[in-house]
Amino acid sequence: MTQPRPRPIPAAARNARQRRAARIARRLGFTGQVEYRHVYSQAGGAQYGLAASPEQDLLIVYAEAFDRDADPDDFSLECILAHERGHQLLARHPRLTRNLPATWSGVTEEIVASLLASLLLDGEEDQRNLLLKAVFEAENQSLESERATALILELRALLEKIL
Amino acid sequence: MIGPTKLTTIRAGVRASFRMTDGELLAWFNRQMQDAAQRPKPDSCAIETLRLLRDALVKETTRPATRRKTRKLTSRTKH
Repeated sequence: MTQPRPRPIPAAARNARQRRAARIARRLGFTGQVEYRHVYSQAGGAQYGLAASPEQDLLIVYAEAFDRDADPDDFSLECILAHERGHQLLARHPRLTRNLPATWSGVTEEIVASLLASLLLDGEEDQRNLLLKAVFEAENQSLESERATALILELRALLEKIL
Repeated sequence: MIGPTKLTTIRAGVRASFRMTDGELLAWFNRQMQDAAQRPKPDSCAIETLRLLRDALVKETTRPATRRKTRKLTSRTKH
């Protein structure tokens, strides 16, 4: 089966993507290395890697993050990177690591990463989209919509207080 | 990872899970916001979260379109 692959772009465009991703990541408070890879990850567009120290943490940004950003019906690059910054905060923020359960299911961690991201970004459109993502993940855990919404409200308020 | 599911699919899925008409959903969110505001210690984060979700799910179909706010540095409006 043929896998989708990104269309070729010149080195200058790849460098521009690298710079833009790094700029947004720094603005969001990301510490560590930011790398752009012109390949498809099949996993959303970016990936956070926890290293021995925050300075060595790694944020890999893939080609589909930029494809999605260019699509008005999909997440912006800021949303995608803020979600990964949410994972870094979960792993690194002293008050979060102290006050939140050490062992959460992957799904719960995804919900919390989206909620943290919604608190990091100022634009309401991005905030709304990240909240939808969090509710969607909660509903995928068989929570009814009203219950999922209540959980999101409670968690977001808790995270806002902790940050 | 934010996952490969497209935003429009996510929005449609969440909207469908609230088995209400647009009018009912708008009223439901407004009631929740009112309840949060009337608590002895109003929960401003909950009110803001409810407003954002309400706008994500019902704004475009039940209200006249409003011009989007100019965004701050950390976000970018798509057109």
